Amino acid sequence: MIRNLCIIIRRPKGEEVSTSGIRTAWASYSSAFDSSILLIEDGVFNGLNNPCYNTELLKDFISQSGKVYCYRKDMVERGLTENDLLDGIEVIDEQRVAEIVNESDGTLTF
Amino acid sequence: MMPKTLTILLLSGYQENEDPIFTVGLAKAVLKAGYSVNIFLFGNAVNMANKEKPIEGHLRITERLRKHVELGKVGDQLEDLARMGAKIATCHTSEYGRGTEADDYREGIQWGDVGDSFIKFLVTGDVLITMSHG
Repeated sequence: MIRNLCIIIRRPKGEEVSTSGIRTAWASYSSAFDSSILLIEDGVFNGLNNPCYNTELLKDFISQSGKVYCYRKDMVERGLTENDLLDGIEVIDEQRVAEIVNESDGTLTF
Repeated sequence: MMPKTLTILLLSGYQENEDPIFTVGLAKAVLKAGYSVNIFLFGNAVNMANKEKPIEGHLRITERLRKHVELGKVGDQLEDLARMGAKIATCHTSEYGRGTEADDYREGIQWGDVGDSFIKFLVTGDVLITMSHG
């Protein structure tokens, strides 16, 4: 099984690229890829319960056992806490980020 | 032995940055070296998939500005890449969002989608690059 990681660095709402990233993760996951999502930089805002398409698709992804990670440092620097994030998002530190990237066959940045 | 394949996910269109120029240059070099190339046009990059409509009469652009703008118009080079064997497909949802889904495609560029076209590129690719401007 191909391991595909989509790294989302853009915020939701007004940034089409963040939507494209989540769509790509969803499409590859639906095609039997071991696909996961990593939220970093302003991409961490996608982990909030914003009323938008990104949130709906992210919830679908999580409900189908898709893995979503959020980089703790970028989350904290934006005044967010784990409690602000959607259920099912795993908050991780640098070492785990490195492991996830290293374990992936392909990494796409959005 | 099958040549290795480079898959490029391009997210920028004409003029907004130099990613399309770099992408066609890289793809051309890779093809000339004997490898295969897939290019998926996503987001603004889909605007390069369509044939240009000719402008009638005076352009109302200075020659100096026209030359500057022409540097970023790499649509013809995408057709060259297709003739050299590159597989190039678009995201039709991105096109729909820009009102261009029904426009004619350049030679060698295919209608496509994330769920099928891009996934095929992922499966058949050996090396993957995202061309995205932060």
